[in-house]
Amino acid sequence: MRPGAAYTGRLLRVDLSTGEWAVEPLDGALADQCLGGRALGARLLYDEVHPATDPLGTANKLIFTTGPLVGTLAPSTARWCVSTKSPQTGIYLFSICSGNLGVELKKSGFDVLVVEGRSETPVYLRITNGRPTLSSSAHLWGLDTFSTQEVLQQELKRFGTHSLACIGPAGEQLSKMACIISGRRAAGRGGPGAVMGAKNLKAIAVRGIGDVTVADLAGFMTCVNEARRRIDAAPFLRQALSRYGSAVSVGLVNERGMLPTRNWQSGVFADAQGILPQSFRENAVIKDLACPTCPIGCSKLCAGTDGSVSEGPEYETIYAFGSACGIGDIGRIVQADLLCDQLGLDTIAAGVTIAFVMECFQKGLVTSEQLDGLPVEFGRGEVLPVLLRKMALREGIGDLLADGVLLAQQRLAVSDDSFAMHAKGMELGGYDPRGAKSQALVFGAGPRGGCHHANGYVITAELASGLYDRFSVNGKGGLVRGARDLRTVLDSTITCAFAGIANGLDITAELLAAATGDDWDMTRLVEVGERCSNLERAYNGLIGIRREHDTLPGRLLHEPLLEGASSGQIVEMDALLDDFYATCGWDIVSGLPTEEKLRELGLADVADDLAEQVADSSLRA
Amino acid sequence: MSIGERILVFDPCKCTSCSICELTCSVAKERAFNSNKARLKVISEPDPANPDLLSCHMCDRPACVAACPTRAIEIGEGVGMVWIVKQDCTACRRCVSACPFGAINMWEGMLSPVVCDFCAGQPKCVQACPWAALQQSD
Repeated sequence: MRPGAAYTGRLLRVDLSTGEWAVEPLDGALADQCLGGRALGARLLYDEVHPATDPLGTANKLIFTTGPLVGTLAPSTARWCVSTKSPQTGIYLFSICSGNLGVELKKSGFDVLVVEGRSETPVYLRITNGRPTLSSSAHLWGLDTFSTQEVLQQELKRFGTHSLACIGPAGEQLSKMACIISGRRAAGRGGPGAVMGAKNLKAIAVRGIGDVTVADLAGFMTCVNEARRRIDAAPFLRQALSRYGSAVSVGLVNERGMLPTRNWQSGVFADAQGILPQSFRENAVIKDLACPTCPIGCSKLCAGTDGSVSEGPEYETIYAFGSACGIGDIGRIVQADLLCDQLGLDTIAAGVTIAFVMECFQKGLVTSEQLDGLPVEFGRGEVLPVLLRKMALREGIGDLLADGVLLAQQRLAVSDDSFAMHAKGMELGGYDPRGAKSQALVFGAGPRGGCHHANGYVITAELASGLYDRFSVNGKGGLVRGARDLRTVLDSTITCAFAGIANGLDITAELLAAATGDDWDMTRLVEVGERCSNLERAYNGLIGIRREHDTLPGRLLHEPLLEGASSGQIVEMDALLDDFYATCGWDIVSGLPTEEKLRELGLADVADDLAEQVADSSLRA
Repeated sequence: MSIGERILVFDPCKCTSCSICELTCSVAKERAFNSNKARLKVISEPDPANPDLLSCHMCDRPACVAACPTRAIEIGEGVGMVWIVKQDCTACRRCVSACPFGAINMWEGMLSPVVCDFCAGQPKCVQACPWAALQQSD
């Protein structure tokens, strides 16, 4: 790593407890080993936040990382990553969001922003032209994310336009499903908004004026043009995804009997007409939008019930508030999506939690009284806005639901946990793994809990490539491992996964070589990806995560799907895990990375930490 | 050509606010990635459904030229293209304020403002736009 060649070479550290700040050099060896984004965040978290840290305590940190391609014209790279210990899962968390916040950080001269400590009173952090200032946010406290950003933008006008990230009421209330909103986009999963709330940090505003520079501009632009050409030549990206957004998958997944419906009681949603791509396009979309630097433009400005206008929903939100809640009215889904953005709630977590309560109500496990008299029944779209507001403000039933499905199940005293649809406390994304077995490993063995893609995106390979028998467990460990190592690299440069469909490791290596002036090739890149996953796994291992935690809700393991094209299927988790661990070089019994694997990846210190902890725990046993 | 007729024709329906045009301009003109330094700007807030483009309209009687106290802005023959003669410019910013289209850019630390020169007739932003939301008028 050389400062000025895709990196600024500097890290900004702000301590909210003391109000002090410092600029530190970014360790070049760290950047060479971990690139940026997710992998760099994982390493810094490993080094700086002890595994026993209370996620909502003063010692937890918010590590905002950019990446070597961020701020350049490399397609779909205006992104930033936040790494922290998750209040929702209690384990490792990263969350990536698009928009210019990371670009502005780099233009301010920083690759990384570390926010630590806790302010006694509500504040916001402004970084203008590289200089951080903490100011009171008392006047913003209680405002939703859109109002917060409006007020701040007005207030900061005299300093120029800033990129903003903030929390809404949900984050202030320490909801474990609180996200961070930047513009109209979210760092959604795992509750990073609650970490901001616990630190009394309402918002971050960044404006930089410097250039983002690369080592070989002409060579880099040649690679950029090639990357653009490949995206233009990919019909899935420039025709399907551009036109319908990620909602394009709704029909395919439903046809395969994998669209989680009525809280995963079925994989076929009979009322899907209203959420199918063509209908979505015709009835909801009012404008095509793109994240900065993205030639695909999968973002859709949509009109919802009550005249609400939202950027989104995308596939996962359509699943969570749509099929999972038995709601086929796209207007209601748009309305719920917008409300979540304003309140600062993660849409997947909120939708899946509500779907769980709907099933409890269906089965008579909760009373109408417990639900504040609300008709929390499948298909009742009008209940969504009421519930979401209650959740964000912790009012009545909302207080029981505000922290996600795992705690909702416990608080409602529902003894059967087989249909609380989460893994390690994080609500599942919208692909039933009973119909595509590799997805079980993505949910069950992923680094941040039940996320649908952090452990690699496998749905296209399973459903559309023709290379895999989706019901078989054979070869699925390797499929996930390959998808995982591509994903961790993209998340570290930081490039959107959709752009990665056209621009894989080869073009990424070329872009990086031209940008940094260093030798990057595919082998070295895969190593970065693998190193990232092993660091994440080791960190979770130090927290106590073992093989027995790599599991899924009982419904997926024991209840065969009863209708549709995946009928009769369940998830064979043990066989899948054996294969995956073996492929990863992880211990089959414990699920921990082996010492050899860690040393091979240059993580000898991590191997020592893990060995020490394992020895300690066996002594205690 | 009347005042306000654009050389760069902008279609707000096609524009996705991806800002590729701005970064492309900054690379072409400043050899760096920095949208603050672009000669054009897409405004997509507060109404993302109706983006607008700020760029030089090649006015017949340019307000920027009239506003310049040192006559540092010259007009090209035939077309209304303007350029700023650096050695005559005092960085007073009057042209920036005078332009009704917000097309003249002068960022922090600059010694003289910049304006679109249409890349000698082959605008890079037009070539880079993924959705042909930017076109060159005849």
